Amino acid sequence: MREVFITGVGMTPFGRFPEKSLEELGRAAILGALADAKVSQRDVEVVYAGHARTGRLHGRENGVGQLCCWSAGIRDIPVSSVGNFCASGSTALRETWIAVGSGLYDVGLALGVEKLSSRPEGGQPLTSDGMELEGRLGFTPPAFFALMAHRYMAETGCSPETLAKVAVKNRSHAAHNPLAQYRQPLSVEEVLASPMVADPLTRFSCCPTSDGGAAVVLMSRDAVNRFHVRRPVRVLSSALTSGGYRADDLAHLEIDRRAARQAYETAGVGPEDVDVAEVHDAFTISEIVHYEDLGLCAPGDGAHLVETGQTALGGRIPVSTSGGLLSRGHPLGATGISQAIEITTQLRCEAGARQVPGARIGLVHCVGGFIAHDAAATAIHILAAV
Amino acid sequence: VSALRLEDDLGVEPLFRLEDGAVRLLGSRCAGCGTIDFPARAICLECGNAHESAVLSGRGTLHSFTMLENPPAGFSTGYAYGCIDLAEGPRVLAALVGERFTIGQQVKVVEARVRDGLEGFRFGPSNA
Repeated sequence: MREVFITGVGMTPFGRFPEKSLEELGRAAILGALADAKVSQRDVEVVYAGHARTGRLHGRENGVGQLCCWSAGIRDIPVSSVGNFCASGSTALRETWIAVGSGLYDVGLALGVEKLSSRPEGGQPLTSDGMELEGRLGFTPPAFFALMAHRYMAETGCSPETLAKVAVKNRSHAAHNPLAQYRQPLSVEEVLASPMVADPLTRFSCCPTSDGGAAVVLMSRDAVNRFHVRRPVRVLSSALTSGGYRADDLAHLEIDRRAARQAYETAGVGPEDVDVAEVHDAFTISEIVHYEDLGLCAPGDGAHLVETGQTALGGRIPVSTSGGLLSRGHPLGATGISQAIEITTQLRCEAGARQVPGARIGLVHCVGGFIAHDAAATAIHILAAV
Repeated sequence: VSALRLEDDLGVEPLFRLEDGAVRLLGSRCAGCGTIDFPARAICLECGNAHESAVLSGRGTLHSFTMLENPPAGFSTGYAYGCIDLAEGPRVLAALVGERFTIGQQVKVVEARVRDGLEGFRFGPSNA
């Protein structure tokens, strides 16, 4: 594989935008990324588009990439859709990385777009694709992570108050991100007093329903030179794996540990080298468990990281500086790309009030979907300032 | 109006049957390595060989549990929900009968309404 660089980023605000179409969200993200990379539509040689719920909600199982490219003025090139649950955007990023890294193309674009505000079962938990039997037996994504929370609390003594502190921390980060869905301050008391979804997870312990689009431009070294890119960010590694479907201890995700090992090994760095991370904090408990599975702390120490502020801005290893899924928002397919945008922004030292000083290496983690009783897909990217 | 059965709603083979008043889960066993799974599967995840039908005890250990207060579409009320490791090895996620649970307690499958208008199974305390 050749070296691959992120050279342009663009995203819409995340939130509920019932008046905006998929096409508008995708087009805005693409145009933003092209402008940031200072390239034109005709410079793009390949596009991968991640989206997870456009079939069920918008009658578009296929072709969302072409729709947004057509709308943004991109034609005559390979465009493919990538569906991989909540990791759809991350997987689109990985496919683009492979396409450019392989030498087939010099300039690629990874797009993620989703519009969930139009779902008919608003107010109730989002269902998960393909869980027909499990869904009838009572499965919901919050239920799965509530099982994780009970198991984790029983093993470590972690309290609901500590879980709530994840939501409070990420909201305090989102206050500095103008594109985040929720930016007003949130207290532990408010998190705990919000309606219970699946004990111990309350409404504010769960990510919101979001719409949004995000895109990044990827380039080879040749293209970086040709387009005189000022602050390229290098993709050190891209790891993608699927579930092991074993009856592991639910206080961790084996799929994430496996993906993390691959990502660190390929990148030639370890968790101790990571300066800033965006993890898949769809629920408060998830972020704590992700710290441990990604090696950001020892197993069992995740709650301590939150309690001592080590993952807050100004701490040892700030996590979810964008506000995370909990406060930036979680438009499924767009999430993975928006996480990569946050880390790219940090590594370019352009994050303003939420900048992690001197950040050189960042990690992006996305886990999505379910098969039987296990998570279905995990993607991890490690990025580095050049 | 009689409630629909879980298997009929899904269009799959029966998932359980009654044996001397007890509910038995209908799973499968690998002809190669002996690994047991539920629901029945065609090909073994461990070794790739074919599975054959196997009847499971329906007994297991509660790995974790929660109470769903904001139930999904199809459920008119909240319910307890659990992760159960069956005695023969497979893991099942299913609704529970009852309200108070502890991690590690023994549970067994019982015939029960799974959601509005749908009959199937849940898990409950094994001493009930």
